[in-house]
Amino acid sequence: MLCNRCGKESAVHRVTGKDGTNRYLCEGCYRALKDGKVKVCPQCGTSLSQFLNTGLVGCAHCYEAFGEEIWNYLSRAQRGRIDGDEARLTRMRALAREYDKTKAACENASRECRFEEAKALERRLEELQRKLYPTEETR
Amino acid sequence: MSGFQADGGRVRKDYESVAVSTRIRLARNFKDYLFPERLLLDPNAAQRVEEMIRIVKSNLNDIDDFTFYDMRRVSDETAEFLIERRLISRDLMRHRELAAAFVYTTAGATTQDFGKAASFARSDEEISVMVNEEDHLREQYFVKGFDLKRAYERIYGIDEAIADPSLMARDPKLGYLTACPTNVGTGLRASVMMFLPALSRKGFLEELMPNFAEQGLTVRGALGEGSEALGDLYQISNEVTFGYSEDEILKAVEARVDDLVEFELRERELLLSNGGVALEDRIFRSLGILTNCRTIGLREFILRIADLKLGVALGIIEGDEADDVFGDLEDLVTEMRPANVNRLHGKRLTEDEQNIFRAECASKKIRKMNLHD
Repeated sequence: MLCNRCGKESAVHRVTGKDGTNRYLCEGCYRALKDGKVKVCPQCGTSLSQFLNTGLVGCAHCYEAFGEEIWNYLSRAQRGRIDGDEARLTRMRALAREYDKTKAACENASRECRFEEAKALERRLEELQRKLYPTEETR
Repeated sequence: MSGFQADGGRVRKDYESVAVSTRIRLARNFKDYLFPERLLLDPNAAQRVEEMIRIVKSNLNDIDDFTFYDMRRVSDETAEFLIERRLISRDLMRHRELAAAFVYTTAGATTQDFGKAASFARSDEEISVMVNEEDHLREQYFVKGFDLKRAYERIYGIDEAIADPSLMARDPKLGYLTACPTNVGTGLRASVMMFLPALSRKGFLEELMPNFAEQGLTVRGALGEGSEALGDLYQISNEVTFGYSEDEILKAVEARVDDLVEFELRERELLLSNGGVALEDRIFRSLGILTNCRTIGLREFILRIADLKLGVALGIIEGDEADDVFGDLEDLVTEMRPANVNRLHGKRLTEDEQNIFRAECASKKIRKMNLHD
């Protein structure tokens, strides 16, 4: 049987956890565990490196055993703020509304021969177009 | 492009042609048992699993008529069928020896035996509870259309019944404890499936992805490999599960879906007025192929169906008035996936045979929809 911890060497030691589950370890991993070099959950025997490799904890008690590491992990994985700045999509939606309104006004102005105004509105439309579709020019 | 204007089209303004379906799931764990990945090493795992299943079963049966699947005994074919229907996840099969699922669909009970049930009829509402997927319990609710509030109320009812808070792994500071800390806190994932043909054409979505992440949300392709969005289907969901209430998370997802719907409908207007004959040709060409083909692979099938959906959404083609053509086309994509095709046929087919059977079945169904301009 391969070592439950490193999965590379043959297991030569049996370690029984608080909950009665057995783990089988190779000499190297067993020594590291005994010397306190390996951080493990006392309840289920999941080691810190296992958590960091798989992203999974073994039981509810791991949250105490690896409190600091889990906190660091969370601050990376869940750093998005749903109550942060206004979403870009919402800003774009406002731009799109303004574009559509300006376009209607521009067409109106042309129809009614208010050419100065139409020209100004056209410039505004171009501006809005660039903001709405910034990638189109580079495509 | 010639000056040709597509005639007769009128963009449908309904939410359902953009926000196709809503899915909510909650992740829960029993505090006294090892989490699934670790439970595999427990010599008493079988007994623990029995206990979990008993708790869930006794409480679920009071609610609806659930079908129980013991994953150890379910055939690969049936498992694949359930995965294609999104009633269970592929991850559930990773711990097959511990895993089980409870499934309810409005289409009625599902038979476990391959070949007995022709297929599900259309189902507007689906509930599934997976036991020992990544977490002990994964409670999922699915509903057609866009209704996060109803979806949450329904799944909350299920959760109250089966996940007694006194038995669950919870922390006063963190909330619900999950096997992967990315789900900790609420354990809630709210996702909305969206059909975004006009927006995806503009490359909008890739551009918006980083901003979605800043907002604690994510947008990804719902079909296809990796991040590809085959058939222009995208899934919008929350990435953040911790530090906010369920209500705040639902509202954030809802707000972005609202934005996307308005934006997509606007882009569809532009697409219709600028698309010209090329757009009409593409839609009618796909209609021609789908109603006349003799063999068709899944990938092409999904893309052609997306063309028809776009045609319906833009009002370029329509079916008979009373029918929900859009929803029927949506369902057809699921029904024509490999394990679903096998089940419909009644035996395991080779890929070539599936393509032939898919062409035969789908062309019949699409002809019946009587799509016309």
